[in-house]
Amino acid sequence: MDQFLEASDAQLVTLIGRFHEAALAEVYRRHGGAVYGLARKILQNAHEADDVTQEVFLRLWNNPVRFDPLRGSLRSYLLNDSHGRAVDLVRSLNARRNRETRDANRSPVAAYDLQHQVWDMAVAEEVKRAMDTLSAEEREAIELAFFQGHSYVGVAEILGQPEGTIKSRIRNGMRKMRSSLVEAGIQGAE
Amino acid sequence: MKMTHEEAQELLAVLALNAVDGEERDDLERHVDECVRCSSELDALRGVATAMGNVGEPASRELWERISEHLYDDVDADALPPIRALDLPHAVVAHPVTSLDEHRTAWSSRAKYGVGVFAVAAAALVSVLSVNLVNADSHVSQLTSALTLASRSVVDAALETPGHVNVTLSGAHAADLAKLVLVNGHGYLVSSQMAGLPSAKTYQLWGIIGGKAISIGLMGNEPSSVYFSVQGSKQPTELAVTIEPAGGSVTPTTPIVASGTVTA
Repeated sequence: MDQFLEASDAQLVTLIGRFHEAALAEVYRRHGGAVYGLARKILQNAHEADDVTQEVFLRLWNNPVRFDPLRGSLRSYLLNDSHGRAVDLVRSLNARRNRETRDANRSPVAAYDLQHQVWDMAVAEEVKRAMDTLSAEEREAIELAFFQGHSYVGVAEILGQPEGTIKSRIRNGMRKMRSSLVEAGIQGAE
Repeated sequence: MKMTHEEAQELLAVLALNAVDGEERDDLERHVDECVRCSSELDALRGVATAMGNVGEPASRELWERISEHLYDDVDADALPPIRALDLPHAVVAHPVTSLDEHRTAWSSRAKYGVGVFAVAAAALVSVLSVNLVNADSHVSQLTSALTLASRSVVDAALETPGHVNVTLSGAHAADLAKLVLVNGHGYLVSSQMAGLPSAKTYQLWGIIGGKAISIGLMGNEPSSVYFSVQGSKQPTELAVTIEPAGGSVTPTTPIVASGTVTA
């Protein structure tokens, strides 16, 4: 794998297109931890995070042309994939749990320890600062969507707010985050 | 339903968080595909989202081993590179990413005359040709188990026998990964620079006979001394090595890591 240490991410993806296992191994070495970390953060389950990580890297292996270097970094692409798969899993698990709960005639309880969620986030200092610029409502909506895998419709139900309000909170919050990160010299998850 | 630009703009940040579902998501993604402004904004917002999710943890070696075991589960044999397609790293790296489709398409078509055909045909021919391959009655013959017989003096004697044939196996990143000598239907590994593999993997040696890849046997995960026989069989025109699961494979399941022509 040493021969790939100097290769760019885009070059590695090209090599993956030629079935170079060592190139995928190098991509995993560079980004596997982040992909796994995000999946685990969302799923709160190591085994399920393993499954998501495996799926993300096998998708890259089987279909590397899905990565377009003009649209962002490889890490951003992989993290987005990891997030998407983890969210799908959370929602299917939630749906199952909800069905089970209804079957047991229990009242669903939504208990979200948002403060804990914030403190538990092992994100870069600049990202934390950027999140600090958000209003409590904006942060709450973004966290419920991103870290707990709820759709904006689900977030609206949980918070008892109109869907349009949630869309606005997320949009405004994300724009503020973007401005803060750009000011801090962080364009994305490079 | 076609989504307007204004409707899409309201949802881009939500989409960046993967928080849009169902038909609405489909409509939105269709709009983004056609709208350069929305596409660009979505990319930027996804950068923010992934920055939030950039939670660093060490990549687990065990998980990588699990992933690597499944790399070829969904790969069509026809998509594998032809046996002579040895990728020189400097040439590969020079290729732009945008040509990935072309690479795999080209491979796919060329593979009809390469590994793809070998893989399909070999399964049918193994039972016939293995009869002729002395000491290769099983496609997963453990060559290394017979190797204690192949002492250095035997190899040296083979190299000094008139009419012996030298075969150099080259890979993508090295000109001579291994050297073998063939004499009177017997073959010996003279030297090897092939890297050690995890215990769950093995190098497998294949002979190309009449355009078909026939397993000669397993070389183990750290080939040092190898003996094999193709006595009674037509001499292979080429020898090739793949990396297979420890038990070996009936047909090559991974790209060739080293190959060399057998010249009389």
